[in-house]
Amino acid sequence: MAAARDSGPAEPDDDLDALTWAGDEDRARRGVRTAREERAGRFAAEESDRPDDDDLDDDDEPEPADADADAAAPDRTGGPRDAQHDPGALAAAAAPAGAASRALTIASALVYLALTVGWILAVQLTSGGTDVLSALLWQFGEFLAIAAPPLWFVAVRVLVPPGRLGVRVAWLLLGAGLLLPWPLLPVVLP
Amino acid sequence: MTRARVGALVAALLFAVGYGWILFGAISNLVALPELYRALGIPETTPWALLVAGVALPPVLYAGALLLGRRRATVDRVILLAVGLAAASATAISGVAIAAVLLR
Repeated sequence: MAAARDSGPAEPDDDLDALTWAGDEDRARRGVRTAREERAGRFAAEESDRPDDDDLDDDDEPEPADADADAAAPDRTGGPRDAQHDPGALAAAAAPAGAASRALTIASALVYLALTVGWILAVQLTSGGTDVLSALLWQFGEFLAIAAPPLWFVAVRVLVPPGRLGVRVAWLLLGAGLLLPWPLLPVVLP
Repeated sequence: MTRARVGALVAALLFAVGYGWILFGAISNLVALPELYRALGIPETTPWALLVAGVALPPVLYAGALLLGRRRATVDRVILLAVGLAAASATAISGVAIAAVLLR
């Protein structure tokens, strides 16, 4: 800093002197980014890459590998990466995906809640086991059947990364089909 | 053998008992139900597809849980095995209910 002050005429603003470096103006004119600008751009990109914070999203879930790879990948085209460093553009692109993910979570949670309630009602209509042991095991089976929809939902939420929306939908649809409370069929049928 | 591998193996063996019990019930149904229907004079209504699916599903779900749990933490493997066991139990009860509806 002292060198910068000694080498040129008096600085226009001494307060800003601590934040600048001799030659910054020349570098800016040549289009060279300072390390601080690089850091700021990277931070903005990382901030906008994060999923929206809401109560239904798991904050401790890992980021999808492809998103990290994309952010860390060098620009092979040699072109400017300003669009990726623009928080506004990234937020605009991420908004529909976040909204879709939230809508999927709410819809699937409602479906799986309905399945759980269905199984609670369904096990009232079933009975099994002629002796104590088999009756006990049958009741444990009923408990497992009631627990199956919430377990399936939580497993999909925990084990499928949030970025892989299609995979989540596929597993949730498979679970909903497999875990239909069929013992309610006589009640539903006329 | 690492502690994680031992934990995964113990979990797989413990859950195998549960899956095995459901499979045993399904095999019992596959053997006994056709006999019962024949004795009742309605052998043509034997729900073969349900009986075969009931036998096939527990091992399929168990194998699926083990396959999906590969290269995962022990906790994840336990979650997958528990989900598979719960799903096997739900489908077994569903099979009994559907068979009863088909008899009406």
